[in-house]
Amino acid sequence: MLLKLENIYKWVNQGGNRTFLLKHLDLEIDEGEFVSVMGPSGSGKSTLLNVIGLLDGFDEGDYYFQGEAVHQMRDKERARLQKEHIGFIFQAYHLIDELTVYENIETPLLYQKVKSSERKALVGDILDRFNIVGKKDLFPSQLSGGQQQLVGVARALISRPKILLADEPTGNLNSRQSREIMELFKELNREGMTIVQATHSEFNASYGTRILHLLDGSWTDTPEL
Amino acid sequence: MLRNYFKIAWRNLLKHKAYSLINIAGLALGAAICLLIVLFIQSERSVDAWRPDADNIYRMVVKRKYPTRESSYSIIPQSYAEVVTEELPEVEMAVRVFNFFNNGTLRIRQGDERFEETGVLLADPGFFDLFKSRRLFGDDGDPLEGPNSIVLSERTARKYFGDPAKAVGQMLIPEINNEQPLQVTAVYEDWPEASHFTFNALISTAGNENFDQENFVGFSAHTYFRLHQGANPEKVEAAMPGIIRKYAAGNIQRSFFMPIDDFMAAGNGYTYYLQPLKDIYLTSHLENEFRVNGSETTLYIFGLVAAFILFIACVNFINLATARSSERAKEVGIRKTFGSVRKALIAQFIAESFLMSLMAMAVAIGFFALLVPVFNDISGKDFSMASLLTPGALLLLVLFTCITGSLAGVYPAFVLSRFNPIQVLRGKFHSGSQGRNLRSGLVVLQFAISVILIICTLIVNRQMNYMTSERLGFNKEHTLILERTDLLGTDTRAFKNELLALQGVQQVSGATALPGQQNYFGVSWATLDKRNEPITGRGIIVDEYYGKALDLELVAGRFFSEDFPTDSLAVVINQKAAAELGLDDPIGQRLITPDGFLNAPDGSEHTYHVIGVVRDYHYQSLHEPITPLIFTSGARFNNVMQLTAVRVAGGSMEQVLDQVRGVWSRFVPEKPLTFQFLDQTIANQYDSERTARKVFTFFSLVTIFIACIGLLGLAAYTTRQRVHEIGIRKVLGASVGTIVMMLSRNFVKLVGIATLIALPVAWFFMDRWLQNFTYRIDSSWDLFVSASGIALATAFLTISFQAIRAAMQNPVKSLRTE
Repeated sequence: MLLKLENIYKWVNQGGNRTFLLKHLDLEIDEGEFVSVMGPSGSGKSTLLNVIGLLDGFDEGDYYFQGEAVHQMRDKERARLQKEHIGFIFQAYHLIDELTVYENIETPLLYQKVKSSERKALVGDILDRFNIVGKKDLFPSQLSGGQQQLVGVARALISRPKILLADEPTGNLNSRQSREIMELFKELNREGMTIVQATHSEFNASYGTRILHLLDGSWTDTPEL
Repeated sequence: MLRNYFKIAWRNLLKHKAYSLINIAGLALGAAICLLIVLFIQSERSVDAWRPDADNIYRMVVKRKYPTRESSYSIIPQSYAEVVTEELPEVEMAVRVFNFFNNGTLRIRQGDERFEETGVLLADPGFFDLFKSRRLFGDDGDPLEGPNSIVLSERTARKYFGDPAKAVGQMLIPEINNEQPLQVTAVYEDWPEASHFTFNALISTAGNENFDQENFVGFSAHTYFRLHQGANPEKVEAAMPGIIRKYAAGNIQRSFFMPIDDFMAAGNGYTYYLQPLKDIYLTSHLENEFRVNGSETTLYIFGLVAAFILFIACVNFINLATARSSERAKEVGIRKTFGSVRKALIAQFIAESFLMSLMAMAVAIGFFALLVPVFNDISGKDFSMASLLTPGALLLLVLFTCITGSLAGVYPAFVLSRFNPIQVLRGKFHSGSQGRNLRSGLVVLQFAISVILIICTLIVNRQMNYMTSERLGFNKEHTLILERTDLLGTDTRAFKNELLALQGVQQVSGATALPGQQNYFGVSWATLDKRNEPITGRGIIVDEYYGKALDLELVAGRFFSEDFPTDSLAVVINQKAAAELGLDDPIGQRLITPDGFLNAPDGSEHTYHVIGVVRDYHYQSLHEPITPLIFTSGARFNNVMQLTAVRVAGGSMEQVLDQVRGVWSRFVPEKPLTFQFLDQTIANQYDSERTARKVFTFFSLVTIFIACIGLLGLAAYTTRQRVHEIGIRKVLGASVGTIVMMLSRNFVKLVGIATLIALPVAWFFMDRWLQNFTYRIDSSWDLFVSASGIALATAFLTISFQAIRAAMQNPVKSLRTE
């Protein structure tokens, strides 16, 4: 088992009312799974991904990552965990406009203090693999949306994470580009990468090995549990 | 990693060219000015301090207490040098320097050639032992030891003899009383300008009995002491009252007709104290200084202004950086998501700001080159690009880069690195509120400083105008002052008559002094019945036409006249003198004076009678209160006077001047005419204020310019953030005017607040500055109103430039970009 959420609650207080973003939520994900989380806007998909990805905290419940109790960790350990094991992919790609393709992909390695020669090799490999070597010196604004997201995926993979978290990764793409990204996800999953994606699209969700439905911060219609 | 930081910083810089330009130009301008100011301060502080033994050399000066006032002199009676050295074990040696000739100006003959030499001083043997200097030519030993010896500076020696090496042993003839030839005994390297006095030639006092005569009351000698290493100067000062009592008592009895105890009891006194050599230039502003010294206050003001300007430039940097935070926020979010810790982000932003300040320094050097001539003009210094190459200046550049880099970078670094990545990446982040209070506060502070400087500029200007246009009590217009008319001797009357015959000449009058000059002499006068209570004041010797030439107003009696032969023993006094002498009806009153040259040559006392009282007029600068002034007639010297005032009809000055030159060259063929204009002489009294005016004008321009640069950048960003809002409002029917108002309102409000803060501060400082003047303007409200107006108008113009552009834009365009 890669990670386990137990009885997770997350809420905000608004004008004396407590609004639950996540409510009594349990989730187990094994290594090598490809989980699609579906649900309408505001159902808590992004919040869940942020909690899993350690970008956001929660108010109640336990979270174990590879058996380690994340809820008991100090910030520093959590940051290390995130840096080494989690890769993010965003709907809006979120590439750094001032950096080239090459440099964008390289950035996570810089924060992991990987040596220069090794960085070069790693980035070279992934450029090669994604077939974007020719674009390595271009800036994000010079790429199409699909290509930008490809760079986003490459950047997420460069630090060899245990899990890939993708929040509406194809939300800004046309159907052909979407399919390409989904095919890429499928192939990555086949190679053993654990993936959690949040999506509106039934079609995209169908690429997953397991589909979960979220409504108002809780699971609905969840036969697996 | 660092390379990555610099890379992204560099690209950011290129991507936002206008932003970078504003930031770098503002910072560079601030740095260039700071650099100039720091160099200026350094150079002012180093005057005289470089001298060997500087720590042990002191000048003795005196605070003279008179019954009704006090004056401090940089010169003391000539006999103290000797007795203090004898009496006090702390003192190693003493040297006196006399500035006797008309401010160091003396005519010297060498062979057939005549030179008008400036910077001629008299000094005791030992001068070069006390003030070590490099001898270029001449024998070992003291070059001033022998009588009638003269030492030349290299420059002067070259002027007289072509080759300085040939100067030693040559003879020079000074055109003073006995024309005793002087022998050049040595040539020294030119005396450095960084000193509180300078000379081109130094004549020895040795063998001249005038300088050996006992005198403990007449101020004449700049007296320097070298104390033994480690000796306490306070001990010397503490011993002075005893020395005065021991040596000066007899002298006081003879000069003031009373025993020293009565003299002191009447409110007189001498306080002798020592000035460390290093401090003289910046702190000593006594009477009879060699030249106008520097001012410590100016240094403080300069330093403060430098700090202000640098601060404002840094504020711009901070403001623009935080205003731009929305654009950087995304990057911060991404970096954080991919594992950057806050520390790394802070490092990145500081690196960025360092790069910016590094570039700013490079640009600053360019600005420095542009500003050097302007600054030299203002400060009277002689800086060049080479001044930047000294180790001190280079160190300063590095320091500036580091200080501005960190000062300007730290705040944005901490703010930007704090962003929450989820909010930022979700697009929920609105930078508008981020640090808005801080930005507003900084804008207020910037403009408060600008307004303060504008007010200072306006007040300095107005005081200057007041001083040059104030009713001085005499007519300063269209008046020539001819110098050295004493050379005319017995031809004086003929010369004056010829001038009077010239077309356009209205009055001609000889005198020893004219308004705006220092050559009034100090005198004591007493009434017969109160001969033990003399008053002190200024004296002047004039001919019969002085009153008319200057349009002096008589409040009682008459001026001197040729029709009254007894006028040679008459005086005209000003109202102040009449008041201090206690004369209700001064005309006909009898006065006596202890001053030797106003009495008979055999020492017997003359009695003068008052024939007229003139209305008080500003015969000295407006810094000084009007003190008693007593005119005596020059008739008994046949009206041979150093100066001759020529009053000319308006508009004919140039042609009169030509004709006067012609007349002069017939009477005194060997010397060209030297002259001044009275109004200029008067203006010259306010040199330091004129400098202050230039300095304030310059600084307030720079400050408001930098502040506006910042405001411009800030306005550009806030306007851009509201493009969408502007589009909607225009679609709904808002006019360009209302949108401009909407966009400007907030900034103008801030500048308004700044003005409110600035007013009391400026008032406080300028009120104190005005205390320097006995006669001054009131710091009236209209100045403050116009200063506020200037600041508001400048700010509004700056902002509306942006606002109008935004408001004019087609709303369809701005809405589409959303």
